[in-house]
Order: sequence, then C-alpha cells, then structure tokens
Amino acid sequence: MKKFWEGLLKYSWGVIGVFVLVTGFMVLGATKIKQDTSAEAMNPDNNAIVELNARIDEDFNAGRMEILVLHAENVFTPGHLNEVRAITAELEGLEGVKKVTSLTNSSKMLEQDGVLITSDMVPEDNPSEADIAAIRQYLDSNYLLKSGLLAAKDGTSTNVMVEFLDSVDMPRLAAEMEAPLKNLWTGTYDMTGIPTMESSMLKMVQRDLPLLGALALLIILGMFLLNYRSLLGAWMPLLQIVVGLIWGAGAFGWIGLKFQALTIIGPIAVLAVGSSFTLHLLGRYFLELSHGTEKRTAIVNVLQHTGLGVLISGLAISASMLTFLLSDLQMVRGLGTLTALGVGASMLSSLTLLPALLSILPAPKVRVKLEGTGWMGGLLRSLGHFAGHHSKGILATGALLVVVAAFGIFQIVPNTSVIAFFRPDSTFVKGNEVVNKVLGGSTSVRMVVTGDLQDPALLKALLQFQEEIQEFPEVGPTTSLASLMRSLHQTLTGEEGLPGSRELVAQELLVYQSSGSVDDITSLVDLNYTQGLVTILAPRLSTHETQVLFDKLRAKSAELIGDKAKIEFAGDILTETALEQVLLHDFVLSLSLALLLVICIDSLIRSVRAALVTILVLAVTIVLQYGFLGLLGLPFNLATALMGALAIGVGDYAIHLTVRYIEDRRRGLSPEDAIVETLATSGRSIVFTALTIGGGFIVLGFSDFMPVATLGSLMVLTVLIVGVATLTLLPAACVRFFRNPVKLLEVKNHA
Amino acid sequence: MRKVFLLSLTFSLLLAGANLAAQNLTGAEVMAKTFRTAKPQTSIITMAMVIAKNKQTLSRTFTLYATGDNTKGEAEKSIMKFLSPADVKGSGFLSIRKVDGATESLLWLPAMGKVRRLSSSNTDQDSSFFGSDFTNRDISGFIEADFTYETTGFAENRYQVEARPKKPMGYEKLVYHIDATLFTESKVEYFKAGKLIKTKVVTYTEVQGYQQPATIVMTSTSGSSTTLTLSDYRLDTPFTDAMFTERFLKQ
Repeated sequence: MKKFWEGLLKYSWGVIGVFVLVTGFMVLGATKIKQDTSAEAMNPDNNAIVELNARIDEDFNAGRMEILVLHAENVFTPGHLNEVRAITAELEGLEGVKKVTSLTNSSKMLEQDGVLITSDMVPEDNPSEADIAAIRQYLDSNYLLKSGLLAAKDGTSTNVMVEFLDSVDMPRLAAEMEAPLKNLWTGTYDMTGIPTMESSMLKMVQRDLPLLGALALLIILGMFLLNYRSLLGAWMPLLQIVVGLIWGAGAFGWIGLKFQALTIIGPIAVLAVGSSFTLHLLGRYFLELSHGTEKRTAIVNVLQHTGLGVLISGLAISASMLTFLLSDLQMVRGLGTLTALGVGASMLSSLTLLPALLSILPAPKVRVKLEGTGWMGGLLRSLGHFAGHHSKGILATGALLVVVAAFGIFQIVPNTSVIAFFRPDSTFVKGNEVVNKVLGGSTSVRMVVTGDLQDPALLKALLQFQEEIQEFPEVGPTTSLASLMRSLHQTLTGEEGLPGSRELVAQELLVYQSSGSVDDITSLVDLNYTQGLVTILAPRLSTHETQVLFDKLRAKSAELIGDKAKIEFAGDILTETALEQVLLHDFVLSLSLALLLVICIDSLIRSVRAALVTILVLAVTIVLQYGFLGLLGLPFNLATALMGALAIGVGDYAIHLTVRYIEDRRRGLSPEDAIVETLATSGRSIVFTALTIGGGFIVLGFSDFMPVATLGSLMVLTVLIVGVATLTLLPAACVRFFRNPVKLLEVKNHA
Repeated sequence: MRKVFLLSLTFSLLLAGANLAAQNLTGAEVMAKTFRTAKPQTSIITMAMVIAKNKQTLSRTFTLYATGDNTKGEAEKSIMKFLSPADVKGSGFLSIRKVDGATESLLWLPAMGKVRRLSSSNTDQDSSFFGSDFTNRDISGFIEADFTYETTGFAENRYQVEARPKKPMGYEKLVYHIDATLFTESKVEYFKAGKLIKTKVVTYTEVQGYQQPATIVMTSTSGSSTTLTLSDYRLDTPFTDAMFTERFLKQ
C-alpha cells in the first residue's frame, strides 16, 4: 500500500485535474435535481392500501379534496351567499379542478304541491329572506346535509369542497385556491387538504436547505478553526466535504432522483460525517509534522495508518446508507443514495485529493499541540488510565444502561401521521383543527363494499353501519349510496327508511339520475351496482389512534355487513398506518444489514474480533438512542427510524480509535498503556469530530419539518453517546477482549 | 372543342359561386336551415342507451313516442317507456314542451305506484338524462331563439357555428359542425367555464325520406360516454293526443 500512496503523490497535479473535471460534471448534474414534495412521495411502493386508493380514485372518479371553511358572523346573508357564488365560480375555472361543491352550486330535491322540484339550493344572486329561510330549513331537515356538510347549523361557517386531479401542481393550486378567498370573502377562512400540505412542505424544503446548509457549514468551519488554529486546517477539510456534497448531489441529479422533504438530512449528514475523515487525516498530518517528520513522509504515514481507518469507516458508512435502498419508501431510498454517494465521495477526496493538495502546498505551521498535552490531554490520559484499570466496571455499567434503555424501547410509539410533520402553530395544523371542529373531519376513511347494491337488505345494513359509527367520537359525516337512498326515499314518498324492493331502489335511482350528472351516482356506486364507496370523514389522528379507529370500523362492518358483502378499507389516514408498518420493517432490515456489513467490511480488512469490538460501541449507541426515544415519549417516525443507520455513519471514530490502539500495541506497549496513549493521541480528534458532527446535526433542530427537527436533536444525543462510549466503553472492551490484536492480525495475514 | 371548354368553365364557375355563396351563410342562417330540416310529424323509435364508464356499461332500452314541432308553432310531446332492464321496465317519462318553452313532465314508477310531476326549472333541463352524459335539454333539443350564432369556419363540407346562449344555462357555448348538404348536426362540442366538457357525434340513416339519427354518441372529457342507438323507426304513424296522458304513461 505504501507504494500505492507514494505513486499517488507522484501524480498530484493529475489527481487535482481529474477532480476539477469530475466536479464540473457533477455541478451540471446537481442543477438537474428537481423537488418533489408531493404526498405520493411518502406512499410506500407496492402497498395494498395505496393500490386500493388508486383504484378507488379511478373507479369512482374520486379526487383528492381540499376543504375551505369560510367563517362569518352569519353566512346566510345575501352578501355572503353572493360571495360564495363568486368564489365557487372562480374555483371551478381553475386548471386541474374536477369539481367544486358548495351551497351555491348544490341542488335540492323536494316535493311542493305534489310536484317534485329539483332546483338550485341558493336561487340566483341576492336571495330574499324567504329564500334564505327555506335554505336553512332544507339543510336542517335533509338526511344527508343536516350533519353540517355544507354549512354549520349556527350559520357561522360554510364549507367549499374542491376535488382536483392528482396530476396537478399542488402548491400552485393551493395558491390559486386561496386567491379568490382573499379577494372575494369578507370574513376569515381556513384551508386544509393535500395542496395546502404540499405547499407548506415545499416552503419548508426551500427554506430549510439553504438556511440549515449554511448554518451547518459555518459551525463545521468554526470547529475546524478551533481544532487546528490554521487556515489550512479550516479550508482543506471544508474543500473535501464540499467536493463530497457536489459529487453526491451531482450523481443524484444525473440518476434523476428527486429532492424530497426527508432528503434535507442527506446534505447535512454528508457535511457532518464527511468532515470526520479529513479531521482524522489532517490531525495525524499535523502530529507527524510536529514530530519533525518531512512533509512527503508525513503524508505517506498519514495515509498508511490513519488512511486505513478512513477507508474502513467510509466504506462502512456508505454501506450502511446504501441499505436504505431496500426501503419501500421513495424518500428513504433517495436519502440513502445521496448520503452514500456524498460520503463515499468525501472519503475518496480525503484519500486522494487531500494528499495531492498537501503535497503541492508548503507544510503548514503547527500551532496546536495535538497530542497528549494541555488540560484536554491530561483529561484524556486520565480517562484512558481509568478505562484500562476498571474495564470490568465500565462494561458492567454499559450493560446496565443497555438494559434500562431496552425497557425504553418497548415504550416507543410509532407515529407516521402527516399532521405530525408540522409544527403545532403552522398554518396547515391550525387549518386542520378548524376543519375538524367545523366538519368533524379533514380527511377520510374509504370503505369499498362489493355486493348487490340494489339489494334492500344490503342497503339497510350499510345505513345501520353508518348510523352506528356516528357514535364513535373520531367519526364525522359519512356518505354512501345507502344514505343517498334514505334521503331520496323520504323526498319521494315522505317515508323514513329505505325502499323495500329492488325495483323501487332502481326506479328511485332513475329519478335521482334525472336530476344530477353521471358522476353524482358513479361517485358512490359503479354502473352495475356491484361495488359501492362509503366515505367516512375523520380528523387526522396519530397512527396509533388511526389504527384503533380502523379496528373499530372493521369490527363494526364485519358485524353488520360482513355476511352480505365484501369490505375493503383504504384512505389517506390508512396509508399512514401502512407507512408505519413499512418503516418498522425497513428499520429492522436496514439496521441489521448495516451492522452486518460493517462487521464484514471491518473483518475483511482487519479481523472479526476487531470488527466485533468496534461494533460494540455502535450497538450500545443504537440501543441507547431508541431507549431514550421511548423514555422521552418521542415518536418513531420517518426520520427517527433512520437514526440507527445514521449512528453507524457518525460512529466511525470507534474505528479510528481501534486502528490507533493496534498501532500502539505494535510498538510494544501493554494493552493498558496502549489505551492511554491511544486516547491521548486520537482522543482529541475524536472529541473534535464529535463536536463537528454534533454541530452539523444540531442545525436540523431548526427545521420546520418536525421529523427532521426531532432527528437533529436526537443525533446530537447520538453523537454524545458515541463519543462517550468510544472514550470509555471501547477502551474497556479493547483491554478486556482485544488484548493481542497484533497476533490476531498476523495470524490473519498468514492465513 | 372551344364550346365544350366554355361550357365546362361556366359550369365550374357556377358551382364555385354556389359553393362560395353556401360558405357565406351566416351562423343564424345555417342554424335556421338545420332547425327546419324536414322532420316527421310523429315518430315511434326504439332506443338503446349504453352508458360506459371505467370499463363498465349500463344498458337501458326504451321506446320513444314523439310528435310536434315548436318551430311550426306546435307543442312538442314525447313519451318514453322503459323496456329493460327488468327493474325499471314499465317506468315511463312524459314531457310536453309548449311553444313558449314551458315544460310539463310526468314520471311513472310502477314500483311506487305513483305518477310524479316534475318541475321544469333550468336546473332540471341541465340535469342528466337518466344518468347518461346527455342532459334533458340535449335530448329534448335546444330552442333556436335561445342562442346567438356565428359561423366560425367551413371545412370538409361542414359549417362550424358557434352558438352562445342569450340567458344563463348549463353551457357557456356550443360549437356545431353542420353538414352543408343535408343541414344535419355531424358533431357538437359543449363548453362550460371555458373548457370543453363533452362532444356529441351523430350518424344518420334515411328512413321514409327523412334523415334520422342512427347513432348518437356523447363523450365526456371526464371519461364516460353514452351511446344512443336508434332502431325500429315508425314515422308519421298517426296517433292521438290520448297517447300523451297519464293513463297511457301508466299502461
């Protein structure tokens, strides 16, 4: 390997040239990156509920919906009704809007003087007092509308429901829907739905990426300056991580992947993790120079010794990030790709471009004593001494903490609900709360019923189901063919209840079909009356609460309808529970695989025992991470699920410590003395690496995207845990289980 | 030779002139001719209506009895009696449209045992014709005087005429494609809120000297379509006003 590194230094300018060219190519790639903050991006692939949702959208021409709630002291005035009419007309004209439902474009069917009249709910502009009284009376008495679907009973709000195509640009639509409300409505309003959500997410991503990226860079730069007190020590590591970032982003763009809300973690992870490579290499370089080693020899020594640790940790981190590619979630795969590529590029740059640059630049002045001196050196030596002579106690304490943390793990409550992505004071959450209060729900559970929907017995069972689930506090208004027939039968016959024969069902529907559009019926039942859709409005709940609701609905439907028809459930909030299942599966799979890969890589390069001793720190960290998550009551969500694999990424200083330990044992020091020496020399780099990585991740705490903010805070804790474990637990494990690494490696090399 | 040439030239010029004259018809003139195309005094036709959506279809057949012509100052009367499917068999729909546009409608539902009188509001006319892509107004026909017309093009022997309603109705405008020889509707495009919402295509057959629609296909941009297939034409068969009563409706 020494010859390889020496050869590399011979062609320094060539290496620099190649990097300049490739970086230019990657900059082009980075400009191709597109954003995707759509709700679909959060859906798992190949998922039964997601597929059923898509089928429902197609079969019933059901669109996603935005709910607009217009507030006023009394919406039932000519002025406000005129405003609603104007707003409805503007919304109907928007590109991508399929259907708008409001008071002013709905019709009513009633019997008057023996004549069945179908007319506009709100007759023309400036309705009279008598018209308004008639409207309110109709809303109060109509079976379908008395729950407040179109307007609140007390008249303080009216609802406008906008259905739109899936292909529309949601943030654009959100802005266009809001425009007529701003211009035409004289009261206040709230909005909630997918367009508002995606618009909020886009704003978050657009704000977070430049702000958090700049903050992270500043903190990391500060750490470099603090560590080396030299300009070279500041810009050199910065250059490596920027190269890593550009190459990662460039490859991301060339592959055609899209930047999503979760992907914001990637650049921060690359900045934080990538910096550790150069920190260790430069640290060793400065150390060699401080011992009087000639520049070129110093560079070769750095690559030969510390370079090994960088190679192992770089490969291990990239491998652990690549396990994200196994996820069924597009956004997780994107994050894994970006981070793996970026970290891999940082590693490559640190092992090739850095030495090339160091070889052509004059040797810097070493202003900081990087080994074993000062208060930090003294502290690290003491720590090493303590770890070497109290290894049993430290390992036992570690084991106890793991047991306590394991208890915390069982307290973890997953929550992948979309509402939990936003801060409680955000527009989306506040709008959602208002709509829940006014309408009883802001999203829906959809129930597909397959059976003979003209059979009065099935219709009766459906209606009973709808009426009984109204007792559930989480359930808002419901619509189906059965509730439509109930309303229709009352209008046509004056009787409450449902038609008693198939013929009457068919003929009453014939009347209904002569008063609406094709879509009015086909949004509830297919043309052959073999499949119907029940829509149950519900508030956005945590995934645990959604699961409880879903279980209740399933039990009730089985009890009342199960013998007459096949029932399937879908809907946006059920997709969130599906997301939870996928996350749990991905978490177990990627973490297990990542740990295995790290063991394999390290074993191949060094030895199995070295790998196992190193992995001890990571395993303990992961258990403690998730233990704290459970004990603190923080949710297991899109971002915190990735914490374990990221911990492997940031815990690479354990590898550097064992590399240095093996070196010191090779020099003939006893295990206890070797560990003191190792901490005294590598400890400073470890401390500054932890501070740098922690500083990088702490900025995520400022994100408005809650999963990312939670992750940022927890990653700081993770870095702290890994740092403490590396400086205490790992030395204890080396002294106890890895006393003769040199012999082991000799045996391996001879094998 | 010279005589033949001159005769041919004259004939061509006359034809071209006629053609040019034909192309110069105003929208109102085109539509006046279309509305006044020879129609039978009475018609009894079997109609099969197939509604198609999302790879499913719903079929209904009914017999249509019709008489009268508003353009001749007569009330237009029609009765539809459903023949299939079985659950709607026997249901009937009676409509009488007077010259002033006022409409009286009755619906007979055998299972209910009652005749229901329906209102004739604007909303009703723009409502779906029994769940199809046609509206009641599409089926009963538009009133010539309710629109302003403008010829917007001429191609492939068809006039393109844009019709805009004089008072608010379900459509913002219609674009007719009228056969310049027969003055029948080949195609009609329907617009609402600035967007095309559906298109009607009609094919004709000659029955007893009249151009009668053979198939009428209405295709919506939302993805559904309705096909009306007409058959068993019995035209100018004498029948009395007693056929357009509640009693006949219930038979």
